[in-house]
Amino acid sequence: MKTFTPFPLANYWTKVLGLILFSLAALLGLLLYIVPPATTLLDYPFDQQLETIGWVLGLGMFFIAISKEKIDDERVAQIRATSYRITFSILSLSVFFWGARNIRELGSITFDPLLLFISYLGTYLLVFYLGILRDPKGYYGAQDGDQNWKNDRWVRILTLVVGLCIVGLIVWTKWVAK
Amino acid sequence: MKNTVRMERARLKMSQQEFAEKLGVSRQTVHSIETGKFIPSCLLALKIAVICEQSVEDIFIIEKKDWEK
Repeated sequence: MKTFTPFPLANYWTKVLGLILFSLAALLGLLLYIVPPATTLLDYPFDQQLETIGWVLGLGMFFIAISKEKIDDERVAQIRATSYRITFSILSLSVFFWGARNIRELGSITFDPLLLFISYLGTYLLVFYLGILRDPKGYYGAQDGDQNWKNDRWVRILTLVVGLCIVGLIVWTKWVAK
Repeated sequence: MKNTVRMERARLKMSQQEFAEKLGVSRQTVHSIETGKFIPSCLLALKIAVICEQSVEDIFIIEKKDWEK
């Protein structure tokens, strides 16, 4: 059955490319903050380096956002549509309050394009993947609940490792590095 | 709306994965349909009925609360 698609999505490999770009940029961004002096990584000022990394991060997020899932069925399409709606509402409201505050305080509306680019893509991806993953017992593993719970342990281990890394990073940059 | 997809699948001795592959959807979608978290489209409901060799109304049963606005 043919259906009309106003915005055809890119294939799954675009998502893989996006994930690679996102991971590289995130890693470089972290390195910039951890490794002093930051300017040794590239041969131009710190702010410009950070902005470049920000754009690469945003590009990666964009690729992830416009690509299909591995099995992109109607449930995923429904979650995607809901995510667009929620993201639109959240960002419209935030831009409104942001703009209104600026009108009052500064007399003009100013937007940072990079911040806007990353914030709407980030909001969309967060809402979309929360929708996809909100039923962990349905998403991971096999048929019955017990089996799923066993398979879910890798997600818990990964969450724990990532959480410990973040805490470790905060502790290291806050107290040890100083 | 309730459905008998899980029972029909058990009758056919198929796993969620096998059932999903026949339908052309993900296993998570089959799980969501079985637990009533996702209501399939008309096309997918018809496909389920064909695979289970039942009519759609026998598999998907509308309830009183579905009529309430």
